[in-house]
Amino acid sequence: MKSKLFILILIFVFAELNTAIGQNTQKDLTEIINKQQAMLDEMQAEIDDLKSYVEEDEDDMFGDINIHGFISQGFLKSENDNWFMDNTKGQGSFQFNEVGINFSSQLSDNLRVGAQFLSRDFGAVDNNKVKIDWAYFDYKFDDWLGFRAGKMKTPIGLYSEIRDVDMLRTTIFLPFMRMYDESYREMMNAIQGISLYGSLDVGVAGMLDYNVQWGYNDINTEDGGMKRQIEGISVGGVNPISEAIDGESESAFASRINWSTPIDGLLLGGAYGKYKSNATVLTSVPLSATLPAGSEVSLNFTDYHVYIASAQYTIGELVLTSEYQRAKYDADFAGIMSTSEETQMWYMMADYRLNSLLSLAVGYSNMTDAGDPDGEQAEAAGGKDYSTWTKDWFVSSKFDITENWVFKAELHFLDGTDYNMPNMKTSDQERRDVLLALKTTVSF
Amino acid sequence: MENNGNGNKKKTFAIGRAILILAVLAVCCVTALKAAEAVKSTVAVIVNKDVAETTMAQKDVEATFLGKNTKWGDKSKITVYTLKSGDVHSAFLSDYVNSTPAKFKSYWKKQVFTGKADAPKEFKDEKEMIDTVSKTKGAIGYVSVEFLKKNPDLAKNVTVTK
Repeated sequence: MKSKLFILILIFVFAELNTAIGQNTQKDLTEIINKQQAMLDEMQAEIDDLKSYVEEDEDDMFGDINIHGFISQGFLKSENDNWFMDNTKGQGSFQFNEVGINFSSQLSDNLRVGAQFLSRDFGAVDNNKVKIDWAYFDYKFDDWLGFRAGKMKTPIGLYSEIRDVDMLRTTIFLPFMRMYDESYREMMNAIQGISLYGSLDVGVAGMLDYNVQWGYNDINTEDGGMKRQIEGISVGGVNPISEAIDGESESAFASRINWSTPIDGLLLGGAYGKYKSNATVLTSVPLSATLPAGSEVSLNFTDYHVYIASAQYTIGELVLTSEYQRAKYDADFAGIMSTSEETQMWYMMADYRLNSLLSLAVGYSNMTDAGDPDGEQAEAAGGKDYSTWTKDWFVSSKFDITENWVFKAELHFLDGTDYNMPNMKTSDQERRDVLLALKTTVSF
Repeated sequence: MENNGNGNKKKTFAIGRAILILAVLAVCCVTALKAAEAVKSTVAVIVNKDVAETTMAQKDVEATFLGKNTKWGDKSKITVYTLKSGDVHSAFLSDYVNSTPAKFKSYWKKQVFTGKADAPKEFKDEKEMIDTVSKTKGAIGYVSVEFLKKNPDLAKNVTVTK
């Protein structure tokens, strides 16, 4: 078809040339031939461009649209059932999966568009409802400045953007307490709004990658982890909420800067996030004479601040990572009561790829309630002191069975129960627990 | 006593500041010294003959193959090509990108699964690579130095400095 098009164009050009020769004198002949030759060259260039475009398309069965996806299935079992999988009764649970598919297209050199749909089950949370994981367009003015609009993954910490994509890391769970919390991913994992990003070459100092986002985030009060978090809030040792019936994000801001230093393999980063949201809840206790138990009142998270410092050093197949996070929220309860919580956590992790089949990771994470690190207040209020901390040693293995198929096994040795959501902390939870996690993922 | 305490603090602060300045200067000097050296490798970075650049810094090569540099100096588009696997691929990633085949693949999967970019097109062998670079405007790729010696006219070798 392409050769036929070419011949037709040639016939047209020569016909035009003959007509021109017939109608003009010999004096103008050279000028006309040159003009027609330039036209011919221009058409040939157009045909070459068309040809390369068609050849590129032939390599891509879906034309300009790229399609990728993954399917993960996991299994969780903990020795003392401290883990927040509901009602496993020592049997373990397969309610631990992720399925995602994405579509993207490079519309021009500078403009890109794409979307990913995700379905996830994590015990009582999320229950395999299909959601938009990310969907945005991206216009790159230059390498140092790009603009995105839509729903984007939040750049808080080194791993937040890839936490749904299991095959991209050795561990099953990221150091899984508040920094990469599994229970309310829907809130912390993406922002709907706008973003500015880019890479800045800072000469001998290396390279800076930045990303700043403004907008709002999802609050799932149907079966999301945030519903449980709200329903478990304690004010002065009393839980005043029986049910969270609605929730709305007012604003969300997230920012991150990563510095690729001049020292080979050393990456340093910093991130800051600020969120405001509110929820409508039913009270479980009388708040005042006019607000008896069962009243519908508002709960405002006036400020939720997150600060993260990150460091990663790569030497060949060994990656050493450590991050520190401090997070604080203030909540105002119907203008009558208020509460706040401040947590800090850090972790360190070593990840080594032994060969093309096996990668191993080992690490330690530590999380404490900054206001009650030793659990004295919790104990005085009748609770367990170990409910205010979690210390976790973990060891993970990843088997790359094929390029597209991985299997992972992981053990966590847990001390303390602060990793649980508030309403899952029961008085009969043991201080120590061992968690086994298995997971297999296929991606394309 | 208080004055002595303040004095000690000032002294400590001054020493700390001096150490920091010296450390920054040391990093700058080391980097400046490194800048004059060409990267020694069995792999050559090649570009289409239309590309104006004749030299590149190693960190620019790294940024280009990680999709952070997407335009040449004249603002034309860079098209990146890689090999799928093999010794030349491993040596290239080690010498120019501070990476390994597994990490490089993982990095590009991350870009794909967060919607940021498409992975570069991969070739099974150096012949396909050099042929495509020679035909594609703004293209960059790599082949072994030996292979380039046998096919010197197809693409332009770029000198990469540390």
